[in-house]
Amino acid sequence: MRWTAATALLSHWRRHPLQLVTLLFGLSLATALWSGVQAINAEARASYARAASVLDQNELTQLVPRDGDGIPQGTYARLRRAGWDVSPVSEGEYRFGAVRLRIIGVDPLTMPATAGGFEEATSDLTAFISEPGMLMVSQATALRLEGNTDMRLKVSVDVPDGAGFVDISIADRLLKKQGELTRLVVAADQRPDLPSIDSLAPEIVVQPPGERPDVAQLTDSFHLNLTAFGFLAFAVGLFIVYAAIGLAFDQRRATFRTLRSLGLSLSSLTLLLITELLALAFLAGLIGVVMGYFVASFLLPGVAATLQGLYGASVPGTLSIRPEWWATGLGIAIAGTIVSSAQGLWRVYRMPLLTAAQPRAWARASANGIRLQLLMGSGLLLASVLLATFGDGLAVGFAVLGSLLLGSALVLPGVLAGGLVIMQRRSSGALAGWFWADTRQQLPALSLALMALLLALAANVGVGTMVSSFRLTFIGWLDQRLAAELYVTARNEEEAARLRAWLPNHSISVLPIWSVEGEVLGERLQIFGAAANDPTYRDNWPLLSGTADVWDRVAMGQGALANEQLWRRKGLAIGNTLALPGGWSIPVVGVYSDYGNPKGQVIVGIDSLTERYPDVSKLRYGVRIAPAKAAALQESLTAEFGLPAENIVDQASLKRQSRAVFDQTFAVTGALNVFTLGVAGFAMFSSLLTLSGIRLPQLAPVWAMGIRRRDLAMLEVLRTLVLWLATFAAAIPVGLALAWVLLTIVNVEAFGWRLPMRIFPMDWLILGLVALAAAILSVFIPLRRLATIGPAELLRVFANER
Amino acid sequence: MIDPRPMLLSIRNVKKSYTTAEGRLEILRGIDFDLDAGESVALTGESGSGKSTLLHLAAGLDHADGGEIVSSGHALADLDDKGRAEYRRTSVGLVFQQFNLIPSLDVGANISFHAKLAGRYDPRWEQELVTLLGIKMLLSRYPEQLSGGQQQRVAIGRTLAAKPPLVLADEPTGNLDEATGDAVLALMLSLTKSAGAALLLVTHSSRLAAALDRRVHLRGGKVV
Ligand SMILES: Nc1ncnc2c1ncn2[C@@H]1O[C@H](COP(=O)(O)OP(=O)(O)O)[C@@H](O)[C@H]1O
Ligand SMILES: [Mg+2]
Repeated sequence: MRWTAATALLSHWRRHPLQLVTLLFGLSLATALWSGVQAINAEARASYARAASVLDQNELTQLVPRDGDGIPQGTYARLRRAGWDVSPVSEGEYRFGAVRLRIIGVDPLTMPATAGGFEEATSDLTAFISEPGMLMVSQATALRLEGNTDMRLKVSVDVPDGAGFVDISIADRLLKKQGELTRLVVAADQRPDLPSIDSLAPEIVVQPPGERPDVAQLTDSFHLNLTAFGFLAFAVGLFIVYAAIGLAFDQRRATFRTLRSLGLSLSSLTLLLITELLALAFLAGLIGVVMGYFVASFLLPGVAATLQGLYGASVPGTLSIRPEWWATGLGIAIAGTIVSSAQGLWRVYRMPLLTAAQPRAWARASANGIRLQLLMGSGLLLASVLLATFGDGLAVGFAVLGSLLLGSALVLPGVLAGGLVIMQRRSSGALAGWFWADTRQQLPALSLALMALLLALAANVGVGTMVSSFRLTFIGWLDQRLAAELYVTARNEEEAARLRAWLPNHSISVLPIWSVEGEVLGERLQIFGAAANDPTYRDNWPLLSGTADVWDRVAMGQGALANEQLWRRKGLAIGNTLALPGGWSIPVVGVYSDYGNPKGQVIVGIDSLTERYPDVSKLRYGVRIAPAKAAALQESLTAEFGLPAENIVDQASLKRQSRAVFDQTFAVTGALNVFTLGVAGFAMFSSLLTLSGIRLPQLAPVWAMGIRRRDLAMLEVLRTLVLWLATFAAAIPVGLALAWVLLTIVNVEAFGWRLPMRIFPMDWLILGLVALAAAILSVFIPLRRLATIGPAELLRVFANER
Repeated sequence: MIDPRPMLLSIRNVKKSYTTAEGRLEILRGIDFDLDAGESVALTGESGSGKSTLLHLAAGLDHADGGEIVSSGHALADLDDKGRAEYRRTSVGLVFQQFNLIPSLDVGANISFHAKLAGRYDPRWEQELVTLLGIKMLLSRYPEQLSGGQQQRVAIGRTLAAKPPLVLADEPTGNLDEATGDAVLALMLSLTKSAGAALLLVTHSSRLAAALDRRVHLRGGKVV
């Protein structure tokens, strides 16, 4: 009996192959987008963890200075003498010509064997510890360094890009630390009876192992963004699955009833259906994970470039297959199937044995559903307004986004229904009245697809507005900020001194770009010096706020500028005092915007910078010159100093590079947006296909009363276009609200910048055209079916034996 | 001699067959009969004898394989798709066993739908029909909220509101219990009469057939 029943149930799919494809495709697409995004996140996290373990030895306890000024050599000696097994580390940024590296100086003799990355150093110990030193770097870094250093290079797969290990004595010389240490690594095994570190060295603090890497915290919000998009795409995909499953259940009602009346128990029937669904979910999940792999490998290079450009976080551009993918991919596919089939299963479970199918009763129940949705949606919209007004923080930002999107989606069918009622009332012709009434009747069946469409379109409008606003602001800002015509980097201090002597005679002015790294307000950041008396700064530098005499005070060493990130994060105000390294207190006199950089930054007068930090490396310069003479200067610099091309960058190429970084930043979001729109288009297509199957009884009487099939088909197209258009119109305000939340809440939390919102109606027009094309595509197959339907099929509607 | 009732529907040697998996099924093998304006004729025959098929041909819903159908002066075989739609809009009214109301429109809109399409919307006539059919209270309801008998009254109202010269009804009472069916049929007969329309009514029932002017019986694809 069960076997026969299963065969009867499954024969449905043989008769409706397109439905099966829709179901499988929808589910695997949803799974693919979700697991693709998850894969990217997992890959990035794994690489942060790897980097942290190698660079920071963060699996071990560390000793760090209490006040951020470095650990004296004496403290280290004291701990060693007392019997503590600790190893010194000295690190900092160092420029090899144009290449900036994070130099990590270690002592291979005392470094605990459990710390990552040193097996290779110790295998070639003499070379590592003797002059001129050996630099352990990644393959990519080695390539960049070629010709920029005379140190021996050793390639190690463990070292992340942009970092290099050297012996501590060499690091000390390069970084001019004069014996001062950055931190001490504590070996895991220590003698039991040691005096406490606090009593030996009160000037340092113990940092327990496993602290999350900085970069992981910085990039959290970016990954959260990705996850949110992945989830949105998944939810939109589930709409398809829901529609397909609902249809398959509806069409098999008669079969269910027959099987039941032939003696199949309700529990057996339910069990059979659940088995069938799980099998489908499993199959779709497998396909989805494979597709997800391709989605991830398609997106990963973009993500890697973004993370590199925005946060300096290095993630390899290649993907490794992780076993947990299969598990989570299948899990999410099965969970999605259960969610989207719960209602259908419930209906089967409650289905009376004898009543005839009542499609209209179902439609009426849906009308009540629309009213309930309207109520819930309005509640959510209200909640999002309240949250946006009274809450703050990234979590609240996402809550606002969530309730805004979900609320608008829920409200949509009700609003459309209201609009259609008004249109029906205002139309006088019979056909027009029927058109609007019939469109309203389709609404329950189409509402899921329309909601999915609204979400996808709103996401497109919202994210598009954010990105375009950002781009416009960013480019304006670049024009101000990159005011110098040439940027020159010397290869060493001696060359820098010669440049300082030569350049003033060949240019309008020379702006040193010198910086030191230090800890301010508990954050490691760059402190730049600015030639604040130069008109370049006064005329161009983009200040968000500042005292009237801000540049004079900076020039006199009586004030510092903070970038927007630092200012927002630390809640600074003009007049607050900043404690800079070396016991230097200075008031904040202005705030400047600093896009494309998640970290804090401080600017002081160039004279006070060199006065306070005499060891600052003086390699970089901005050169002002008449733009027409820039190329000539570039040539004579090359001739005079033999500087390689990458050490002299003109303004235009620098802007180009910055713009490329910017465009990469949002390439991923753009791609996900397109995917989401595609999924929504497919949802619409499958719903229309579904509807075209049950439309005949509604259309046949109208045909019999003298409306041609061709005209009916045209009306069907018009109906679809009207619904798409209305949804598109609704998506614009929702999208703008979304953009507002992204710009004023989420971005401020995630990146530290707040941007003005700009509106780009041309972008909407393009999106509208894309949506129109998708609408026509989605209605095409269902329409062709209708237009070519034979009279016999229509007449069957009137046949008595049904 | 001048016929006081001019001929409305003329069916000459009409043939229709269907191609099925089992082969060619010849349903109508040369049907001949006429219907005068205002006349009411019962079309009887066993189930499967081709009554509905013939009705659909006369309504311009399907094409005959051969022969000639002339209705209200239109030779249906000569009409293109547009002409047939126009013919259905203006020259026939249909009543089906399944009622086939338009589910998205309320009763009032259902009743005026065909009349408006035909360009013969007449509120006064509609009022009268609605009163006579006893559905005045139902105008703002939707079809699914009506009983079968009520739905069929609405369907009759919809057809007659358009004042077609010819009403084609396919077992209109087949889905109703006997008492309701009789009442609905009596209404339909008297209303088509007072509207001056001709009626071709498909039915199994000899009892119902007896109430009409004439009776045509189908057997073996021919009128007997
Ligand atoms: N589209 C069709 N394809 C094949 N056979 C059909 C089709 N429509 C009707 N038939 C067959 O034609 C015969 C006559 O049908 P019909 O005119 O509905 O009979 P009646 O209304 O007298 O019961 C039946 O055997 C029916 O099965
Ligand atoms: Mg019949």
